[in-house]
Amino acid sequence: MIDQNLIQRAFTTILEHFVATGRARHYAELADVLDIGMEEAREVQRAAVEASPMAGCWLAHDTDNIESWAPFSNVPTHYLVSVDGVQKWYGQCGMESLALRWLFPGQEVVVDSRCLDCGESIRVRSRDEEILEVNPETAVGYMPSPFATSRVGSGAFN
Amino acid sequence: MNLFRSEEHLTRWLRHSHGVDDYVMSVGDWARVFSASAFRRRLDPDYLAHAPEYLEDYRRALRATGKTLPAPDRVLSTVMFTDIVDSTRRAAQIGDSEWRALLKRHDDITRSELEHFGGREIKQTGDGFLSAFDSPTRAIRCATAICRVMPSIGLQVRAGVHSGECEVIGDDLGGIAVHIGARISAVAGPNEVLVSQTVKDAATGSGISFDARGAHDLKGVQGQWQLYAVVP
Repeated sequence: MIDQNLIQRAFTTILEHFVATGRARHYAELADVLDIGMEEAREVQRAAVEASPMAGCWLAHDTDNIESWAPFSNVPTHYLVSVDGVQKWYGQCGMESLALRWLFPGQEVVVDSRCLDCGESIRVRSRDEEILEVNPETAVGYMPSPFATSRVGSGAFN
Repeated sequence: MNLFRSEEHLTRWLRHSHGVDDYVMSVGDWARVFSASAFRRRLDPDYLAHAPEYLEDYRRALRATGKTLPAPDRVLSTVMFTDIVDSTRRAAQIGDSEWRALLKRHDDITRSELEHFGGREIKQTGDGFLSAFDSPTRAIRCATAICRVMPSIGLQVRAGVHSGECEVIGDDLGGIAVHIGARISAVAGPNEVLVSQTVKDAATGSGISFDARGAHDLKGVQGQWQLYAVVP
C-alpha cells in the first residue's frame, strides 16, 4: 500500500508546480522532487488522482499525463486565468476558476472567458475574499446535475 | 461547468430546459460556494486527510444558497482490498521495466480471479485493487485465491474484506465501509486474508474457517474491530 504521506506530498507538489508555472509536473519530474523511482512516481501520481476529492484530478485517457488538477487544467480551456496581469494558467471549469484566487493570496486573479452561447466575453476579477468585478453582472454559472446522465453528450458537460 | 453571460444565454445554449437538479446561480453565489474549505485549503499539507469533512463543508455552502447535492445512493456490498506487500522495495530491486511487467501479470491474475468469483473491479489503488462482491463468501474465496497464486510470480499480497453499506459515486464506491475495508487490509500480513466480524458472521455455514486475530484499532474508524484471518 502506498504511504498516505507520499500521496499527499505528490498531490501538493503537483498543485504547487501549477501555481508557480501554469503546468503540471510529469511523473518523471515528480520522481526527482519526491526522491523516488520513476515507476513509483507513476503509481503515486495515480494514487493521488484517486485520492483527489470530488474527482477533481484526472489523467488524459490511457496515459499517465495529467490533464486536469483542480482548479487548474493542464490543457488550454476557454478559462484564461491571469494573476497580477500575467496569463499563464487555465481554469478546469468555470466554477473552479472562481476558486483559483485561494491559491494566489493577496494577488488579483482575472478569469477571462467566453459565453458558449454567443461567444461574447465574460470577465471575473477577484482578490482573496473580494469579487472585484463580474462583467456582465448578469453572468451565471451552470453545473449540470451529476445524476442527469441522460444528457451526457448534449454539450452540457463540456 | 461553464459560465454564461445570463440565464437566457444558458437556456438558449442548452438543447433542453435545464432540469430541476441542475445548478444555475449567479457568479457571486458560485464564488461563495467555491470559498468552502475544499477550495481554500488545497495547499494544506494534510488536505487529503480532511477531504470528507471538506466535502461536507461544500455541501453546507451549497445549502446556504438554497441548493443541495443529491444524497448518494447506498448499497449493501462486500468490499475486498488487495495490496502488494513491500512493493516499493521490490520495485527498487528489479528496476522499473521489470516491475512494470510484473505488475501487469499481477493485474491480469487479479482480474482473472475477480471474473471467476463474480467480483467487480472498482478501481486500482496504486499497487492494489478495490473490488466489490454481492456475496461475502465469494469475496473471501477470491481473496484467498489471489493470495495463493501471487507467490508463483514472486509477489506477496495482503487482503481485507468487509461488508457494509457503501455510497455509490458513479462507478466508484465510497463511505465508511470502504475505509474500513482498506484499514483491515493494511493490518493483514503477507499472503493473509483478514475479514471483519460482519463478514465472518455472514459466511457462517460456508465451510470457511477463521482464526481470531483479536481486537484492533483501525486508523480513522471509531471503536475496536474484531478481525479474523481466513484459514487457507
